[in-house]
Amino acid sequence: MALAQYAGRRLLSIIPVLFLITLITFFILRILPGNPVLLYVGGFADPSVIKSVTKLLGLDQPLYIQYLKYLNGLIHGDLGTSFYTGQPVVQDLRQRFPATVELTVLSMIVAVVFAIPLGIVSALRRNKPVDHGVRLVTTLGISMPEFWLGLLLIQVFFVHFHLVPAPIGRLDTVMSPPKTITGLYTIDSLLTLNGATFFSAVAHLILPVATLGFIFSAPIARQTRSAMMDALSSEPVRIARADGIRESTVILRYGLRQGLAPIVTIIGLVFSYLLGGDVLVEVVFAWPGLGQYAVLAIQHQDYSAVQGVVLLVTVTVVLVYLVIDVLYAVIDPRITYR
Amino acid sequence: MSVEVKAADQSQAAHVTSRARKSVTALMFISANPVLVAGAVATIALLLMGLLAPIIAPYPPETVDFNAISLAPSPTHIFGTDSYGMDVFSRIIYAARIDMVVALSVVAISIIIGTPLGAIAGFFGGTIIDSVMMRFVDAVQAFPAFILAVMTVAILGQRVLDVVIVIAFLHFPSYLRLVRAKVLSARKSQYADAARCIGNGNLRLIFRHLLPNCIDPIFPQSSLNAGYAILLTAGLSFIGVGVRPPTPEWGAMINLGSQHMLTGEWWTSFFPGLAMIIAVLGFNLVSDGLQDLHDPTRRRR
Repeated sequence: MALAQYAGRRLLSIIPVLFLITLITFFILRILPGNPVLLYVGGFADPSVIKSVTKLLGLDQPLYIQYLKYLNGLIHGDLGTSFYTGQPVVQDLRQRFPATVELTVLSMIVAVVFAIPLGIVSALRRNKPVDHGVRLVTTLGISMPEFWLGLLLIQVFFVHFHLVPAPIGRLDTVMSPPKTITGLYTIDSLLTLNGATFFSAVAHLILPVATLGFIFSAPIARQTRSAMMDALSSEPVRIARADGIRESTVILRYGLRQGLAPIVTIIGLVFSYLLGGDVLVEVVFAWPGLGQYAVLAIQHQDYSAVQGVVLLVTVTVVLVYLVIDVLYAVIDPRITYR
Repeated sequence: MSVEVKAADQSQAAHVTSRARKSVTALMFISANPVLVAGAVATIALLLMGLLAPIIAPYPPETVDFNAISLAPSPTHIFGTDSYGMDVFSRIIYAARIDMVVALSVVAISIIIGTPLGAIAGFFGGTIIDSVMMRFVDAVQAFPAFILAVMTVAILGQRVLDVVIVIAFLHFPSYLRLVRAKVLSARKSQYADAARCIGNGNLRLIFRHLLPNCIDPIFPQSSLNAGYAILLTAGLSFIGVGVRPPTPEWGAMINLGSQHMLTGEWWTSFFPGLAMIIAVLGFNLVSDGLQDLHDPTRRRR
């Protein structure tokens, strides 16, 4: 019960941060040099046309009125209309958010599945060849630009060996997307029993997921290693070993259980970074996700679209943090929330 | 273990000349801190490379040569040439000037802004000054960093200086938080009380007494930061909003190369990436090494 109350209070406390975020985004966008109307109607449009379009878009009004109108729309679930795509921003986001979610969630799963065992092994075999190997690879991982790794993988697996389809988008160009249920092509194609689409979707996911999975397993493995080293030298683990409890039980039930909190923290940090930070990989693989949409929107001074993306990403990130904090209490019963 | 070594060194040192003693000490430092030394060597090597670029580079970095377009690596162009006929090797060397300078200036600026603000926030911890600063920092850090960087670079422009300012702005909160946390506990210490008792004002107390005792966590952070700064600069240039061609910059070079990659021209983006990895790796190793130095239990475990 205390936990539910805590979660409720945390949800309330994010409102001022979100408000600040909308304010910052709104005004930063308005200082961008250039006039979005010109991008909208073309540089050589008649001044009267420019004037009427400016009026139509509501850009002739004072800034604070524009901001209040934006907030009013926001409360009613209206993020405005994109200048560039001509669609309501909500609809644009609904198309692109699942693409980003599919990519980032799969990459996180891959990263976690590899990183945690590697981190544990590395901590157990401290200063042995395995440990040095893991440390070398993970240090390389945090030092490598993800877009460069993506390009390298394309070069090897597409250009050279033709093992994967052309790195453009989520499906083969001739294929139409499956009926939208979740927006995740892999799941939708399975639900509609569409085998060909499923395999195409998976094939297009392999390289971007491998890229992000490798890059982001590095910080997780490093954190797991150091958390496990602390846990393995702790009193409970020593006592469990002295009691003759099986080594695998000692490692997982006594060691990992203790080290889990910092590991979950880094997983949450990496995931929240990925949500707004997979832009570069989306660009490399022409992946029609949020990041690419955001960059295009900034370049086209598409005010509503940028505001929409930033808000969506921030809300998701804040929710991820909240889930982590709640998980702490589940992981470690000593933590109580007041 | 290191205590025994030190004792042995001291008994030896009595017999050998001070010069030999110095080299023994240096060797001991290297063998005790291999990570730090490896990182420092990589970083210094790249800085020297940038500094001595006109001597090392076989070709000028921005000269277009239409007779040498997209040549594969060969003895005349060891890393090949790009689609404008510019020598990739020479450009990588000149790019070290931009990327390393960006990295170091970002760190300097974010420390100069973040450290004093952190000391002030920590000293006035719990008051309105502190909470206003912390909420602002929360908002900056809750913002999707890369998107914020693209937005602000779009406002300021695409000169190298603009990129530096933007990246420094994104990074100063981490210094603010580190120093704030330290000052928050140090302000209740005895030496702080003592300094106040002999009549120091708040400002003098913060900047002369507390801050110098609270800056050690920023050193590993700053080296880590320098690595991030390179990755971010290159990322911005890669999508075409950072440093612009023909200025030699690793990310922009990777971008240029990626446009011709499908025709098999791998060298124009492969080699700049390698240079970048060495640079970022160097900074990351220095950061790891500094942390080990600060907390020797970390190393021996």
